[in-house]
Amino acid sequence: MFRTLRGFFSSDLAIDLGTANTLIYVRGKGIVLNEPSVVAIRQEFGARNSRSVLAVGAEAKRMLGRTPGSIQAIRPMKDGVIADFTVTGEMLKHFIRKVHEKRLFQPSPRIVICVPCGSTQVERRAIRESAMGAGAREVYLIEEPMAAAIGADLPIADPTGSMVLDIGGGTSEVGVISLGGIVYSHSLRIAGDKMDEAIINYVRRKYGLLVGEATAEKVKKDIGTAWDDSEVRQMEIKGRHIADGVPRSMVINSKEVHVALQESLTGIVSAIKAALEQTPPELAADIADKGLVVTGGGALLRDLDRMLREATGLPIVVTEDPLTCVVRGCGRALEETETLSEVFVHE
Amino acid sequence: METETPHKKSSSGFGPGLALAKARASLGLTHEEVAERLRLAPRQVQALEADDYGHLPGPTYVRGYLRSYAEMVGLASGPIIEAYSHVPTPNRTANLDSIAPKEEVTSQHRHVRLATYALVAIIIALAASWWQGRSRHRVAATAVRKHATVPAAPAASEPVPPQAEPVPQRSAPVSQRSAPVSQRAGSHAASSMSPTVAPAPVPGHSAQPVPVRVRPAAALSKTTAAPTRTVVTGSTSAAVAPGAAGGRALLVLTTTQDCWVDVRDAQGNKLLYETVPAGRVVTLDGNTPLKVFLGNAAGVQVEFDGKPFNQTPYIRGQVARFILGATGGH
Repeated sequence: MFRTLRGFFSSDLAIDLGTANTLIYVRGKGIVLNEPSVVAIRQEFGARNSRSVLAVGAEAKRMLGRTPGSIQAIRPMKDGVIADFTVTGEMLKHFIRKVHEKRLFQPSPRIVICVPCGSTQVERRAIRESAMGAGAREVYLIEEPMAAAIGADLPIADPTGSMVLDIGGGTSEVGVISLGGIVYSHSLRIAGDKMDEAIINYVRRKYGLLVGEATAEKVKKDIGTAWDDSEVRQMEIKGRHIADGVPRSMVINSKEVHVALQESLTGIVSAIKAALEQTPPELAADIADKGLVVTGGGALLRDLDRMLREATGLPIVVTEDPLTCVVRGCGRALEETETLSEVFVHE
Repeated sequence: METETPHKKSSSGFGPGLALAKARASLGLTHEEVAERLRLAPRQVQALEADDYGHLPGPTYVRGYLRSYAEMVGLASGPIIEAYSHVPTPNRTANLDSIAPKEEVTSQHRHVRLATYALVAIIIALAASWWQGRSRHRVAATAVRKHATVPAAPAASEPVPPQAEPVPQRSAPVSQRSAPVSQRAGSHAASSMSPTVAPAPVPGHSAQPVPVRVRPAAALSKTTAAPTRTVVTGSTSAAVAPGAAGGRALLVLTTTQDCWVDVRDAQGNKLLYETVPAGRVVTLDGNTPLKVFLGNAAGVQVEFDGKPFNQTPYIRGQVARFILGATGGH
C-alpha cells in the first residue's frame, strides 16, 4: 500500500542495465542518466567491519585499477547479467535516487529493464529482484533486441522482417523481428569487453606491455577499426612492462588494433550468418532488401558497417546515437505500455 | 517492405538526392556500381537520388542508406541527414498500434468499475434504509413496552378506575380509560372511527396516573353510531359499548403471553398495532372483516362476536394470520 502511495511521487523509469553503462529514461522527460556501471565499495575493517558504497558511476569508474586495498571498484554486471547481486541493487538504488533528487519521499517507480535474450530464468529473476530491492513498485522486462528495434524505430509491427544487431558491453544480440514478436534471437558473449580484453592480450603478447582496461577501451574508441583498409591512425599508450617491471609507453596503430579485434569481429559475423540461416526465407528476403540495423556502443567502432557489409552482403544501417538506442526503446515501451504490453517478457 | 505510396519526385532540390547524384557523377560511378558497393538494389539508389522515399523502407533505413552513400562518395553525412530531415515524409515514426492487444472488458475497465461502484452504493443504501427502519421499529416497540409496564402498578392500586370516574356526572359520556398500551391503538381507532370527537381536559387529570380520555356528551352523541372501543388492563372485565350493527363486530383478545398484535378493520385502519403484554384483555370493535395478525398465536385467546375463536388452524410457526367476519366464513 505504501509503495502504491509512494508511486504517486515517483516517475516511471526505463533502464538499460548494461555491462558497461547504465542509462535511465524517465517517463515524459527522456534520457536523464548515462553513467558507467561501476561501484566503488569501501571495506572497513576492525570493529565496524562493514562495507559501504563510496562512489557510483563515472566517479567510481575513475577509480578502476587505481584503488587501495580498502576500496574495491566493482563492475557488478558481467556478460549482460548480474555478477554481484547486492552491489547491483545498491547501484540501482543510487541511480533511482539520483533521478528523483528533489523528491521528499523514497521513490517507488514502475521500471522497465532490458535483459539479454539469452539470459536464463535465474538471471532474469535476479535482475527483477534487484530492481524490486532498489524500491521499484513494478518491474517489466524486455529483451534487448526488441528494445533495440523499438528504439531504432523499426517497423516491428508490420508483417516484414527486421534484423537488428546490438553490440553492447557484455553481450551482442542478434534478433529477427516480425509482427511484434521475436522470430529468432541469439545472444553471444562477444562485445565491447571482449574487444578490450583482446587489445590487452595483443599488447601484452606483442610488446610485453601490461595495460589496463581503461587504456584498452580508449584505444578501441580512438583508433580501433573493423576494416583492414581504413585510414591508419595511431596513439601512445602507457603500461607496465612485464619483463622490466617498470612503466613504459609505446605507440600502437589502428592496423594492429584491427588484428587484435579480428577474432571478436569474426565471432559477431558468424552469429549474423547463423541468424540468417535460421531465419525463414520470406523474412530473409525482407532483410536482404532492407538490411541489418546495428545499434549499441559497438556500432561506433570505425568502419564496422563497411566490414559487416562485405562479410554478410547485406545493406548495413547504423542507427543514430546507437548508445542510447536500447534505452530509447525501453522508454517507448514505458510510454506506450498499453500498446506495447505484448513485447514484455512474461515469465 | 516497400510501401505502395505514389512516387514523390523532388525536383526542388530540398532533399539530399541531388547532392548525392552530383557527387556520384563527379566520381564517374553508375547507379549499379554504387548499389554494388552499398549492397543495395539499383532502384533504391535511384530512389535515394530522386528523393523518392515512398519506395524505400522506413526513415531509419533511409537515414542509414544516405549516411553510407554520403561517406562512400566523400560527402559529410551530417548535412545530408539534415537535408533529409527537412523533406516532408509521412509516417516518420513506426506505427506500433497494430500489435496492441485487443481491449478486453476486465474488472479494471472504467465502465465495469462505475457499474460496480453504483451497485455497491445501491446495496449500502438498501442496507441503511433497512437498518433505519428496523431500529425505528425497535424504538417504538421499546417505548410501547415502557408505557405498558409503568401504569400496571397504579392500575392495580386503583382498582376501579372506570367506575371511580363520575361517568354519570358528565351527562352520560362514555368514559374511556385507556392505558397507554392501547392509547396508540386507540388514537388510530379514534382517528378512523370518530374523527369528530375531540379530547377534552378532565378535571383532576393530573392526579390520574393513567391518562384518561373523556369525550363530551355532545360529541359522543354524534358518534353513537361510531365504534367505540375499550381496553381494560389487568383482569378487570371490559365495559363494552353496545355492539355495532351492520358489519360491526367485537373482538376480545386475552393474552397469556406477550404477543405482537396487528388488527385492521375493513378500511385498513389499525385498530391495534403493538405488543400486548401477558395477562391483558383487549377488546376491539370495528368494521368487519377484521384482519388479525398474531405474533405469538399460542399466547392469545381470541373471542369474536362473543364466541371463542380457534386460531390454531392458522398458526404457521409462531404466528397466525386470519380474517374474521368475512363473508362466507372467516
